[in-house]
Amino acid sequence: MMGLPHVLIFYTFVSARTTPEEGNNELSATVSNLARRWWRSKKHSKGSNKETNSLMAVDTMKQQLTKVLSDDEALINKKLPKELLLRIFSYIDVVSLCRCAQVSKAWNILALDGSNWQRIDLFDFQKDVEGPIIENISRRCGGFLRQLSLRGCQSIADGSMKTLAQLCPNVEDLNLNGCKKLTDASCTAFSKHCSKLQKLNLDSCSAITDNSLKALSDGCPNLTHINISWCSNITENGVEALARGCRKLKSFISKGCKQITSRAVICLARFCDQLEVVNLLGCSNIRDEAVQALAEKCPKLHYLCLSGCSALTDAALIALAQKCPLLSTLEVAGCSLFTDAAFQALARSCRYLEKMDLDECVLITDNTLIHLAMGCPRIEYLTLSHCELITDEGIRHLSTSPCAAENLTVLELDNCPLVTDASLEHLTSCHNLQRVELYDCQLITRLGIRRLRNHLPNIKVHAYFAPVTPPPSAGGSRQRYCRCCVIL
Amino acid sequence: MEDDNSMSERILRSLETIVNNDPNLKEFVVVPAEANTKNKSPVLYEEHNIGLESWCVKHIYRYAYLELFEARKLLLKKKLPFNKERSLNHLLIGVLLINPDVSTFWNVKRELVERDVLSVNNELLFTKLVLSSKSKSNEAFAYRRWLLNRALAKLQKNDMRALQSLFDGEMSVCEMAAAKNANNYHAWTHRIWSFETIGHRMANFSVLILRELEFSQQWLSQHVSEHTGYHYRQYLLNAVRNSKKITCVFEYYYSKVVESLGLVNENDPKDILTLLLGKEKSCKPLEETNNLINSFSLLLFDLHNTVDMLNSIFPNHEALWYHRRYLLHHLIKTAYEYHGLSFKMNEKLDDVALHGTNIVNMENSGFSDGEKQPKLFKTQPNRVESSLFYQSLVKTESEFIKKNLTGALHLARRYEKWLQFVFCMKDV
Repeated sequence: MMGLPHVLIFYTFVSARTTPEEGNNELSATVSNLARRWWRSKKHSKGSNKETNSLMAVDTMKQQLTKVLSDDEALINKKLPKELLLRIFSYIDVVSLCRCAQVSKAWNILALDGSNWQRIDLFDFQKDVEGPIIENISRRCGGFLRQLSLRGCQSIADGSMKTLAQLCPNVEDLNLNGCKKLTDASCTAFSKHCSKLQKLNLDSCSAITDNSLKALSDGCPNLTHINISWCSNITENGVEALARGCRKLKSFISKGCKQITSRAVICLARFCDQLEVVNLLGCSNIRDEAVQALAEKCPKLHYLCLSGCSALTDAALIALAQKCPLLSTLEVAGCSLFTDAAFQALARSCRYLEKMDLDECVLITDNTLIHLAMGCPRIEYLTLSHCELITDEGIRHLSTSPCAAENLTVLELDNCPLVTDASLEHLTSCHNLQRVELYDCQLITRLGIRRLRNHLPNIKVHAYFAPVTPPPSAGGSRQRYCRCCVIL
Repeated sequence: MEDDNSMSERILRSLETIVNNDPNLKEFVVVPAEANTKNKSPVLYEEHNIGLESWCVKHIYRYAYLELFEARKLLLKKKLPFNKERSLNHLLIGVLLINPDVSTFWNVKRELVERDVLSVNNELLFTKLVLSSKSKSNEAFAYRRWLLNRALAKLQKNDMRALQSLFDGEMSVCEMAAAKNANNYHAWTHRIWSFETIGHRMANFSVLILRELEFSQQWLSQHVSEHTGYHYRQYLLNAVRNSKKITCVFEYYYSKVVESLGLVNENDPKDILTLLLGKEKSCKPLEETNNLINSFSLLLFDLHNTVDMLNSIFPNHEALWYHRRYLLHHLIKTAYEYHGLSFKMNEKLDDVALHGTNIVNMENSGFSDGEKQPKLFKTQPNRVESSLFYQSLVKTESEFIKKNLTGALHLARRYEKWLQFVFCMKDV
């Protein structure tokens, strides 16, 4: 069933190049031809019950369609005023809208009216979306367009983005994740025309440079969310310019931008005191002073990812503990210099912590767990992978804490060599626990896992143990007996 | 069941990380381990070798197999999202390391290479790893050839260094695969293919062929009874004969032959032909003569040095005798070509002449040991048969047979019959 909508959305927008009045006949002719061919090819493929059903449905639909088309003023159009139809259409998803657009001239105009196309997500059509489609969408939607997601549409280039920026000046949320062909020209166009832009996602647009950020800082002062992950050309200069221009920034995500330095983060902290979400995963040049500035200036921070910033020390975490009490998510995987002292401070003041990723914080011991157990009652998600000093004692404290009984849902303990079956025994008191990772904990036995499962029947325990029941063989998995024999 | 899948996923990912990060991987093995008593990763990684404990094989294979066939449906319709395309390689790595004989998975790899999701160089390294565990996998070799064709098409014309490294890579892979499994025709065929496709594009062709000749001799002295090695050597000898690119005389082989014939090193290599075969009728161009000298001295070198020597050390190996048949056949053929005569063996048996199996049938077809040759074959000796070379050949062959009558009676008798009836060599 996936084929038709794709074709429809494509042709609806490709042939919409002509104005609806003069191009409609041509449009509906191509589309109905296309649809007919599609159904015919479907008919030749293996017929199943479902398909014949839908075939019948289509026949009836066709009949209705011809009826509607033959009457210029079909009953439904007489009874329902255009405003109401438009209102109904505004609740319909993209695929159905495109179907409706094929019904009649009148419906085509209504369904493709810009007001129905304020929020568009083309992720499911990423392989089909090409330049002309975007240009036609922007022509149709005009000022109505608020939100557009082109995630994964790799064939999009600067030209269509320029058209979009010109025709849809009111766009607020633009997701261009993975549109690798885009360059600075697109961002310059946004800054020129789209002053209302609030959210911009440029994840993996690797051709983007500092010039884009400078342009955005000039033209888009309302920007609150920006994502420049994996744009490896971006340096501290770009970030500084952005921070000066877009002071309303709430979310700044720059995973894997290795050229971002402490100075960039300090600038960001100085100008954008509204920051709530900051992700600096893999920005390995970040030093303590950056995190200290962030903590000092942005008290609303609740999400912070510093994974892979391996130069950070306790000073950074202690500053966070003192100034950011609202912190709920902290990811510090691979920050191997953090010690118990830092987490003690953190646990004392950040009581709202829900998710913590401490992967490869190799220096932490049971003390960290003791403090977390006491100080952070909301912890849901805790990763302690590769924390090799963790023992059963730490897990015991964790499992007796208030968070364990109610909130803890995921606990990752893989590659903690000192954890034994006793830990699993303690974990039986965590009623909400849904997943435990135990890969490579070599003191864990099958028996221990079985006991845990007896207490918490719905838990997923991940370990290197093959399931007891052998899986059915792959591939030629023919049934050995026919169904009647099985029943007998 | 879901737990199981996440375990398989994790194992496959760790395999992928190792394969992607280590360009010097040597070997992949499935390590027999019936049950896992410890909660330990089944992926063993030491000194550039990967091991996989056997208990997890069925789980990861099943998981990857089902996932891949699901993804393949979408891939064929070109509906698979870009990010999914990128996360197929770990499944493919796992499946193909365990079972490289499924063409479908190799084809998925081909599609991903065509979409630039996978790089040719990484894939060459990966197939090498596959061949280290299943060295007779024709699918892997075929995929490798496909990759090489792509690489060659992209190569700049004068990029000799890249060409050389490709060639060396293929040679080492073939040698590794041939050493792992006896009679690995897939590996030798691949070697021949690489030699023809890559070798012929290289500038120093004659150096290349000399190196290969040396390699094959080295190989033969270590694998006396493997016919594959002889087959490759025969291919090389034919290549020397047919090549237009070799213009100089191979000094080493020439001097060895002169030595073994007990002659003094003549000034002009051409004289050896005149001496052995008599004066030629029409003068040939220099390259043609050099070519004749080369192939003649190579064949004689093989006859006297390789075969004789190997046979005296390792008697009673059938493959050696067949190689001798090949050498003799081509020696005579070259001699005929030298005189511009057309060479025909016993016509009826022409097709089967070089294949041993039919000689056995000969025994039942009316010829018996002592019987005189049928009159049909008696003709006037021509220029080849009257040459010094032919006479000495008859002598050495009969000596060779006599010498081996004690050690390898059966093989010697068969060879004798072949010479007499198929090859029409009288007085043996």
